[in-house]
Amino acid sequence: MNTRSTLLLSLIVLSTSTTAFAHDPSEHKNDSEQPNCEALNTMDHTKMDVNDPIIQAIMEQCGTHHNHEQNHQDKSKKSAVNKSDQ
Amino acid sequence: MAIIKTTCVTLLLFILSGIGFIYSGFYPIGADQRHHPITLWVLTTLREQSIARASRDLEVPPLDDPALLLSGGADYNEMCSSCHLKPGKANSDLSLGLYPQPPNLTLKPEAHDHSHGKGGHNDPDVNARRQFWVIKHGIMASGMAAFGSTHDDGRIWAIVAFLQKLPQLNELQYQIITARRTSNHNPN
Repeated sequence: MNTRSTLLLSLIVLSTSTTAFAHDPSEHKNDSEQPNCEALNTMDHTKMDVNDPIIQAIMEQCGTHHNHEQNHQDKSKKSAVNKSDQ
Repeated sequence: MAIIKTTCVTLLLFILSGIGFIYSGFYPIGADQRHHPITLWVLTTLREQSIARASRDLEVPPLDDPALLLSGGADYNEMCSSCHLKPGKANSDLSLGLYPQPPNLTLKPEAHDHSHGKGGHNDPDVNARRQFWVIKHGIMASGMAAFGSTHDDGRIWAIVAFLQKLPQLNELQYQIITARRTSNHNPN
């Protein structure tokens, strides 16, 4: 392999490997802490301003989280019902 | 003629003394030392003026979208909170050990012990532009990394959006907003 080919190959490898160093959010999905949405039940919801982006973000986060848990529970129930039907 | 000669010799001696001091190793470089007030003023002023000039033409996008707070919050928690702290955490090994000390971003800008340049404390746009530039480009010899090479502008603006709200968050709100969302996770 001549010098020019080595240089070209090195440049390609370096340019593609740079993206591997980026902080990828998916790396943290499984090991990250889950949102403590249950604690919201103890809060006075009448004092929450629904136009506040912070409250909207919390609702979006917990809505997603609750829906996700709900889907899990629904699927568990369905599979249990299916098993009992069989 | 004699004045010119004296000036040149003095200047040469001054330069040689400076070079000699650099090579002598007598300058205390440890992060547990503190700058002389004049050095601190020079470095702080240099930093703030440079950031203000470099960031002045940045256009700040709308930062009130809750989705920005969620993605920026998760990134902040993973990348920044060990130095810049979070609600309920007043200090950390890094916040105490780094010099210059990283600002506590759970405090409002006016509570920081350094200037943010002209109008910096009172103008949210100036603060946002400043934060975006610092996250993207970092600050030399300060411990602040440049994230622009690994994070696109949209992701950096999301962190900036989160920083605007961080001083208002309590511990519970912080925990919920910064938890990495699992909505794309396949439950099967």
